[in-house]
Order: sequence, then structure tokens, then C-alpha cells
Amino acid sequence: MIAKFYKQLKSRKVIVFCSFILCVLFVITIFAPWLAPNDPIAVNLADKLQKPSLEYPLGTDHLGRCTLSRILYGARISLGYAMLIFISALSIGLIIGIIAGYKGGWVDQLLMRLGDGLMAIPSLLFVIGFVGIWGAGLKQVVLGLILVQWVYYARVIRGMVLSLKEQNYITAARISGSSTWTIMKNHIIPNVIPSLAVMGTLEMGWAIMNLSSMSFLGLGVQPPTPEWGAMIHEGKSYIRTNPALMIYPGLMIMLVVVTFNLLGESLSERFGVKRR
Amino acid sequence: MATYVFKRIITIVPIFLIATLITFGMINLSPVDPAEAYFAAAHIQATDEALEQKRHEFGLDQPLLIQYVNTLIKICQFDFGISYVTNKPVWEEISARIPATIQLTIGSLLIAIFVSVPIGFLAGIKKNSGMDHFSRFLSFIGASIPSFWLGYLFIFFFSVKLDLFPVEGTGTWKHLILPSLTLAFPLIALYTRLLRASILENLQESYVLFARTRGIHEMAIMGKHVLRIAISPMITGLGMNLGNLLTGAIIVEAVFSWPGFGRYFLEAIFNRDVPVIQAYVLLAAGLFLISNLIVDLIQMFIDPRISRKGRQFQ
Repeated sequence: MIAKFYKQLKSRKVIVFCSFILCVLFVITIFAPWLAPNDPIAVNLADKLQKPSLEYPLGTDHLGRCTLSRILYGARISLGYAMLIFISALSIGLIIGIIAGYKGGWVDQLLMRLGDGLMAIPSLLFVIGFVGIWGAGLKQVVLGLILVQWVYYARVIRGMVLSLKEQNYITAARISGSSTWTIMKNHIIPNVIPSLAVMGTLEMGWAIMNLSSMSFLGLGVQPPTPEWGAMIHEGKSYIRTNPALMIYPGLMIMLVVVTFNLLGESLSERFGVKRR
Repeated sequence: MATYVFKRIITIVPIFLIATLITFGMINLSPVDPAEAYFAAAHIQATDEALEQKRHEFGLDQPLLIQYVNTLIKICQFDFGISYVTNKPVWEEISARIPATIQLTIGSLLIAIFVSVPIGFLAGIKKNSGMDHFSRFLSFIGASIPSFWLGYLFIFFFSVKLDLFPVEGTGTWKHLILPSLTLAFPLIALYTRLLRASILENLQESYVLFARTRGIHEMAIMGKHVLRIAISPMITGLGMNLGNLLTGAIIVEAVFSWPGFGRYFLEAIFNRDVPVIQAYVLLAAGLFLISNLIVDLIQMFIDPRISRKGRQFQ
């Protein structure tokens, strides 16, 4: 099964290319402390607003902090928290989806109507409202993003559980003597993995974009922590003299989001999954 | 048809009630004490007695259910309480800022429609042409570019380098161009994509084949028949995106210092001005619901099959 999966992946250049970029980004995330030439939060006013040099390959910001180092460390925040959001939302969705699908009845109704209610509110609006009421900060933003995201996973997983219970081909498999595990392995998981993969990939891009938007507004990551959105916020005052301060972090956000979106799109084409 | 319209209007009420309940719940679950927030926002060092008195004034010592019902009644009268910071009624403050945001929203909707309809149309009727590739590129970039960054890029190129438009503020139509364009960009991406897909789908329909066999000119089929029907998902998208437009406006208003509803809300978050935050979330939810309703009704007049379909399900 894995070999077949790999073969399918290999036949798509875009998927391989995007995966390669993401691998590089994850390497940066893990090895940022060794790759970064300088300390990302060390203030050095003597070297403020420097042009690119050997010591500071992308120059420095208004507090003399190395832009390249801050961008590399920023990858940690963006990718790390996007992963956290993805895993948490998936876990919550898994638990609630299984409960709703398995229990059925009023429990199912209640959970799914709650989900409908959450989906009816525009997601970013919910997050901003949530942060507005609970106060600004990275924790609140991450929690808000998880709260709006689990619904989508719960729906897919509930569908999976229901199909375990109801679908004709599942009943047929059961009658012909397949064990629950065999049914899961052969019929259900292969049906769910593609949609979860597509959703997960697109969600990573979505989460990174919104995390940086919130930090840009000053509601998310607080200074001096290096984060791309926050860096744009700080760099905007120097748009006339040092536009690079605002351009590089934005390029990074775009690179990451484009890669995730492109990968998600190619995967959905590959697997024939409809995007939400 | 009248019953459908009526039923559709009635469905809004429970959803709005849920929205008020969620907002009310979030405020009550939050660790912030409105009385403390009030004094903090007004920069007053409060004594315990003053806090207690404020809590009584806000009705916080009453049971939750009564508090909720009171809030609901007040909301129905457009009474959202008094801002902690300015001590003026929240509704007064908000209604003074709404026109600026509406100006921005309408500007961006117009830009989005005028750009995406021709591109999406041309891309859809000629698949894999240059225009088609361009439209795909555009919709891809539009979905992936952070709007705050795009706003600064526009400022950098058009205001700083070329000196064509003012950097920020309001007043002339020139002030409106860059913010509207920034807000419109994700919409252009989405609508181009929607229209293209919808046209491709409609080209498979038998009515197109029939029109072709009748010898009707290709451009007439496309312009008169296909476009008219294919535009329907775009109208749905318009209603669905009002929420994104509202949040987008918060960001764009922050970038361009646009004195609208969104920036006021952002200031309220930093000042912990709870009544303003609550009012914003509820108004946004209400606006979103009403715009969806209007869109549904417009679609019903364009395509009467919808109300018949609706009746089948009921």
C-alpha cells in the first residue's frame, strides 16, 4: 500500500516540488539556532537599520536585530504553531466525530448543530471576536483557530464512522466475514486519508496566514518574539527608507502559504477530493 | 414563493439567537471582569466598593438567565450599552464610523466585480488559453497573499515610488483606490475562480448544445445564456464573503489608517472595551445573516428552480 502511495506521489512533479520546499522549511524550523548568524532578539542600537553585509546578510531592523536571523526563527513560530493547530484540531475532531457518529441520536444532533453554528460565523471573525473578549496573545489566537477548525475534521470523521455503521459495501464486507480491523484498513481509512490530507495541507496554509495576520494586528505574537506578521508591523514605519524590512517577511509568508495551497490543490486533484 | 420567503426569513431568528448566546457565553466565561475592565479602560484606580457598585449597575449580580434576557431586549432596541472609554453610547460611536467602512466595502466589491467577471468569463469560454492561465495564476496568488502585506506593497509602489496615491487617510476618491484594491484582491481571486468553474460546468449543459445546433452565434450563446446562468454561484459567493470582507476591512483599515468600523473595533480590543466588542461581533453576525438572506432571495428571482427545490425538502 505504501509503495503504491509513493508511486502515485512520484507521478506528480508539483507534489514532489512542494514537498521538497516544505522539507527545507522544516529543516530551517528545527535547525534555526544553528543556521541563524545572529541572536534574533539581541538589541544592538549601534548597528540599527544596516544595509545587507557579511555580518547581517539581510541587514538589520530599527533595533539593530539581524533580519535574516529573525526570519529563520520566525519560521519556527509560524510552522510550529500551525502544526500545533492542525494536530489539536484533528484530535478534537477525531474524538467528537467518533462520539457523534457512534452515539447518534441527540448527542449527534447537538454536536453537529454546534458545528453548524460555528461554521455559520465567518471563521476569522470568530477568532478576532474570541481574542477581543479573552485578550490579545498567542495562546488565545491559537485556541481560537483550533476552536473554528475542529468542526471540519469532526464532520469527515463522523461520516467515516457512519459509513462503518451504514454503508452497503461495509455491511457486505461484514457479512462476508471481514473483521472490523480489515474493514477499517481496506475500506474506510483509504477513503478518509485523502480528504484529511487535503484538508490538513490547506489548513496549514490557512493557519499560517491567519496567525501572521493576527500578529500583524498586534493581537497575536507579542514583541520581541520574531514572527513574520509582527515583523511587517514593525517594519512598516521604515517603508520609505528600508522597505526590505517589510518585504522579506511577507515574501516568506507568501512562499509558505503558496506551497501549502499548491500542495493541497495538487493532492485534491490527485485523489479526486472536493475542496471545501 | 411567498411562503418560501417567509420561512427563509424565520430561519434567521434561531441562528441569530445562537450567535447572541455564543457571544454572551464567551463574555461570561472570559476571565475579564467587566467592572474591572471599565475602570481599567477609564484609567481609574477602583476601590472595592466602586467595583461592587459598578457590578450592580451592569446587572452582574443578577442570575445569568435574567442578564441574558436583558441583553437580548437591549440589543433589539439597538442599545449596546455605553463605551467604557468614551462614555458615549456604543451605537452612536459605531454608526458614526459605519459609512467609511461601507464606502470601502462597496468600492472593493465594485473593483472585484469589474475585474473578475471579464477575466473569469474569458478564461471559462476558452479553456487553456493565455487568459485561462492568467486567471488561474491570479486566483492562486490572490488566495495566498496576506492582505496586510499586499497593502504595504501597494503603498510602497504606488505611493512611495510612483507618488500616484496618498499613503493614508480619507477625503478624495484617490484615497479610496488603494484600500479598496487591497480589500478586493482576495475577492477577485475567488470570483474569477468561481465564475470560470461555473462557466465550464454550464458549457456541458444540453441547452448550449441545443443553441449551437440552432445555429446561434457563439458569442450570443455565451453572453446571453451561459453568463447569465453561470453568474449565480458568484452571487452566492458575494453573500458568503461579506464576513470575510468585514474581517478584511479590519486589516485594511489598520494598514491605511482608514477611520472605519474595523479600526474602532481593533482599538476597543486593546482598550478591553467590552460593550464595543460585543456590539461588533453581534452586528457582524447580523449583517452576515441578512446579507445571506438577501442573496438567497435575489437568486430565487434569477432562478425560480431554487424555491421549488426548497419546497421539496420541507
